[in-house]
Amino acid sequence: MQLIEHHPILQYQHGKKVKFIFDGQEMEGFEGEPIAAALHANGVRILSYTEKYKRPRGFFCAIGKCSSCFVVVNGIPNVRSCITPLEEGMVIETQRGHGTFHKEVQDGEH
Amino acid sequence: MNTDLLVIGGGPAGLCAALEASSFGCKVVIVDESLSLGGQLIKQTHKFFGSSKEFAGTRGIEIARLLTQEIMNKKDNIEVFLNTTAVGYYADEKTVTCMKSEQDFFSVNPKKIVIATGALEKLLPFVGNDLPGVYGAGAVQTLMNVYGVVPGKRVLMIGAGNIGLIVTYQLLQAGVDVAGIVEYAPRIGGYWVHAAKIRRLGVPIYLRHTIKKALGSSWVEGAIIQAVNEKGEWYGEEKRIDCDVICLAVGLSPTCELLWQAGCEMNYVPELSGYVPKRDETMRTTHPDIWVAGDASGIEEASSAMIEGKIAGLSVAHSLGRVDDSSFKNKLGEYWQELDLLRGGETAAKIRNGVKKVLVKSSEDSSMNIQYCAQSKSQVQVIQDQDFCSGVLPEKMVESITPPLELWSRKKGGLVVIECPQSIPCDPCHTSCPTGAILPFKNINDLPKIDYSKCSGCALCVASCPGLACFVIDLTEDEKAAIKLPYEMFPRPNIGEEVECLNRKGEVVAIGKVIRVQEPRKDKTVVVHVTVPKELAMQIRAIRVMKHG
Amino acid sequence: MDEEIIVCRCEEVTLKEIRDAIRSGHTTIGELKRLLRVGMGPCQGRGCREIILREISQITKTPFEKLNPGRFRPPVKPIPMGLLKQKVSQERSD
Repeated sequence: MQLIEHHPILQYQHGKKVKFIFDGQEMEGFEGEPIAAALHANGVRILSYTEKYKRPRGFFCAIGKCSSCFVVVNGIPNVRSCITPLEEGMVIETQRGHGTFHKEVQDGEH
Repeated sequence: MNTDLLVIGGGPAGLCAALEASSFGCKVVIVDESLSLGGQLIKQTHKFFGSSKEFAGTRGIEIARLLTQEIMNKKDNIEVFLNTTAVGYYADEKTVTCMKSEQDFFSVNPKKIVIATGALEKLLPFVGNDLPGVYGAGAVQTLMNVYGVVPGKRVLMIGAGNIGLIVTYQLLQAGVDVAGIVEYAPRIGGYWVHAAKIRRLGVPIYLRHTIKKALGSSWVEGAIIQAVNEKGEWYGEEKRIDCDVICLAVGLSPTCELLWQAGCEMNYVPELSGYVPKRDETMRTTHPDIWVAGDASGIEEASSAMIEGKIAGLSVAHSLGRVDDSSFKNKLGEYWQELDLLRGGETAAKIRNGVKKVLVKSSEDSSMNIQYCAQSKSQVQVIQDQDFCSGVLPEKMVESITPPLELWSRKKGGLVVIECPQSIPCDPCHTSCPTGAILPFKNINDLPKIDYSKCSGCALCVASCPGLACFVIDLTEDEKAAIKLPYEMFPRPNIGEEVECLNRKGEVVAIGKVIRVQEPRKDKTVVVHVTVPKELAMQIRAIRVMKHG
Repeated sequence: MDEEIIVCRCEEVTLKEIRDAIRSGHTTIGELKRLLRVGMGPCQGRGCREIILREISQITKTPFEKLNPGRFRPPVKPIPMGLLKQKVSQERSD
């Protein structure tokens, strides 16, 4: 993870280290920190490809306002990765377009 | 859910509104979108300006901690919902619908509402502006200051307002290289001292330039910038800048959707950076049950957001009959006095004009005798010098800050040199001075004045100044001068170590030797004593630790 | 170059499309929304509204403050349909 090791002012208090899957690859992050921060620390900058022009997208505002940071989390698309806390074992995928309804998700809550 | 007051947004304004209202016994619910309270304060590693009576000299992160603690101490009266967005206001039912973490949906029926929803980073149209790696300044701060994630290797900053300048400094503190700052205007928009801090560390500011293009196909690999003329047309050669992050700090827009939904009368006020509601002197909008505070009412500093929050909270309590008329009026008058002081400086002229456009005095106002947005007394001299406009003190102004040589040359311990040429609301240099050498301010926007005969060279001001604009220089040794300068980088130098000495433009002009390292206020600003050639004493303003090994 | 500049990130609308539409007489946010879908994606125009208004202002030579920024309706941010369903069934059973 690309973390700031020394800072003249700040001392970082990270939570528990957890494992998650991004596009089939196992990665590590800290529980409770935003998914986007964990992905960025693992070198992931592209969170989605847009619907029309298939352009790569990352986050922009990182405070849940701009809706630029959508990813697919545990099969659910359009999850704002910048304000959604990371959990152990999450399966995260790059979102393509507006996202697709997975059968099992469609039958459930969303 | 029912409550006296619903505060939407748990940043500096919202928290102060909640605390104030609850201090009069109001039941308060706070909803906030993020994972912790404090809003943008939790990312601010720099010390705040303003009055020492409030939080001047305290870092934003520390203010967030103090306010959050106070909220927690009032658990009986204040309920907090984090990761919760107020998504809609329904006027007929006077209901606010909220969504918690996309998993729970509930409605709140408050008697009164304070909207303190803050702001959103502005976007800028240029080719490739949606590439991954084009980040808002707030996002970069969140990554590095809240979660300790390296945002990139080399950053190009767009915008030299306070946010662009502060985030540049913070990037340097996190060990990230900053390629430069691109600014459309012919001068920096933020505090001059913030610009001076990063110029002396070698970051260039490209005035009258814009970004044309973000380079790269998957993510940012560089940027093209070009100069613009007075009409905003490009001219001259395009410059290619290598960078992997382009950080946008081109201003904020007030987050105003709920105010529109509630039917508050809104105005577009460029000075306040967007659509803002009309309000009276108590921060009440044209909707009788809705108040506004902080950036949602117009983009300004966190210090004034906190006072606006207090005003709104006080007024809510008054409208609910929890405060008697005379204490209400007294307190309101005091808060306005503070607000006026914060808005008295030369950079706040814009705010004063903007607020005047949307401030509608209430019927009660005539009995209160408050001076709204009083103009600061100090005359502002507009300096056109190219260096000055980008945060470098020009050669010709150095004399005006030089101590009287006769006293200086024999004063053991040295004398203070303050490089603070812009009227901003700030007083820690005076309040930290134990000998009275830095004279009291009539108005906190005044420039510091020094009685050199009283200066002991103790350097407490060096450690306290939020702008890192105080230095102490001792000329009493034969060959070398000793400079005591502020230092907030990693790593700290060791005593006896040789360090690079940088001038106001960040050029290495000498190798100096560290003779002492102090941390007088135990707040991580250290004062480094370094010996330098005497003739460079009025040029060297920063040090850089040379790579070990 | 305008065709390469994305103004509405959510709906991927370029500066050129917006300028062309304004020049052909669609000079309000409401019309542009219907025509181009600008400001109708998940962020609800938070990013692009001001840029579009500035374009309208420049092309039609109308002062910015005279322009109508369009209607703001709840919700300010997308809500999962399942959540609303849950809420409604909860209220019905109450």
